[in-house]
Amino acid sequence: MISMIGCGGDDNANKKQAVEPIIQSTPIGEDVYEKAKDIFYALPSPVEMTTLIKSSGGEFRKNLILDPQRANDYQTLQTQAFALGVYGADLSYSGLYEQKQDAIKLLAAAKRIASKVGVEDAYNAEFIERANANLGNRDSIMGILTEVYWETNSALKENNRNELAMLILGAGWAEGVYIGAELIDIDNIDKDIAKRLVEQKFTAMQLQELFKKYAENEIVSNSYEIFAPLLDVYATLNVEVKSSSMKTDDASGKVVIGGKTELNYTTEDLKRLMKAAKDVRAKLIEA
Amino acid sequence: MIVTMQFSAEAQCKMFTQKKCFGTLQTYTNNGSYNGAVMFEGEEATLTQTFYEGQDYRLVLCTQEVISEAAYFEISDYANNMIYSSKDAGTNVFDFSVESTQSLKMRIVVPNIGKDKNLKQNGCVSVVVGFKSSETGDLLDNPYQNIK
Repeated sequence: MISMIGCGGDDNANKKQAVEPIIQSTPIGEDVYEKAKDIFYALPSPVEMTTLIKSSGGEFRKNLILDPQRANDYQTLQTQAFALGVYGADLSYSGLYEQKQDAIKLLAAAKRIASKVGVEDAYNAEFIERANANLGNRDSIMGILTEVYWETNSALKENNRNELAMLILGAGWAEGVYIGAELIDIDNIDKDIAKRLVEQKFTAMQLQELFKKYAENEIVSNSYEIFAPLLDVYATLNVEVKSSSMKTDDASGKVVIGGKTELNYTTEDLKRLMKAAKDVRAKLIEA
Repeated sequence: MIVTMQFSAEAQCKMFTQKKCFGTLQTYTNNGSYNGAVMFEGEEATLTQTFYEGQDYRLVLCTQEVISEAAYFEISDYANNMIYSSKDAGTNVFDFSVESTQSLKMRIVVPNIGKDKNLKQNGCVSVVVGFKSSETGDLLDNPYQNIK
């Protein structure tokens, strides 16, 4: 497809006044979505994942992060993609908890792997300098880490390497799940963290669709068996979704998309999830 | 040649997103996903994403001027019930939170503008999503908020 882009001029799309939005309860058929040019699935960024963990009361544990010294161990594109995703998630984890020394080492490790994968521009000198200068400032470093995540993501998609982007992001997501799982004490379950962990079912379903979408790519199809134990456990969790609605909260004026999503799980489900997260993570970090 | 031109168009879309779209998130932290593509009149795309209880979100459909007047989006829930449409809302910026964590689908539509039967208008279409904590309104620096 040749795209004759007209790039220029200001975008005035957002300057009109808002009017009352429409709520429609009639289901839209699947055929509408099948007409779509393309279907995108956005996985949660490492920044968002670690924000969820922290807001649920999760703590920082140094033993959970991948040893930065191992960055040179990864020689194949598949293992490098996984490692970059894992280091990216660990970098967000360390950054959010203001673990400066760990973050510095993880940054170096991620940069090393990024060069091998071909996204070194995302970890350019200017970014490294800003990141190092702001590692002690939680708010700034999270913004900077989001930038690098976006740069990595967009660089890969720009160069038609969507499959690699998917594996990096998928590994980062799995690392977030692993961290959350390891923070749970099964004998004294923190309900908030457990809830966040089980909620990842939605993302697991999206990742499952991405694996189907890119199934013809050899690295993707080979990678599926690594993620499968975790995706399979999530597939068994029962989700009950009640029809959503939209309302404006009187007190705050905020728009709230309502409806109830019930994630039904037992302690046994949680144990299976925790084990699967650990097993998948062990495979992801193998050289 | 065709491949080179397509890559060039995608590169422009990426630059457009950085320069024109990130600033619309203001105090929301960009979630880091790149959802940009060149779209033609008459085309649609769908984006599926999980939104978490306890977070506030800003969703922006950011489009190049040539297609901006017509483009809109619709949000549907897990069961494909349409919850919101920007078609007659007058804005493609939508701030919201979710009562319960759920997966939402965003259908992006670039209708036929019909100015020229022989040449379909096209432009970069980018969806940017930002988030912040509902409780604290935790404001993480948006490095692009001052970019015009």
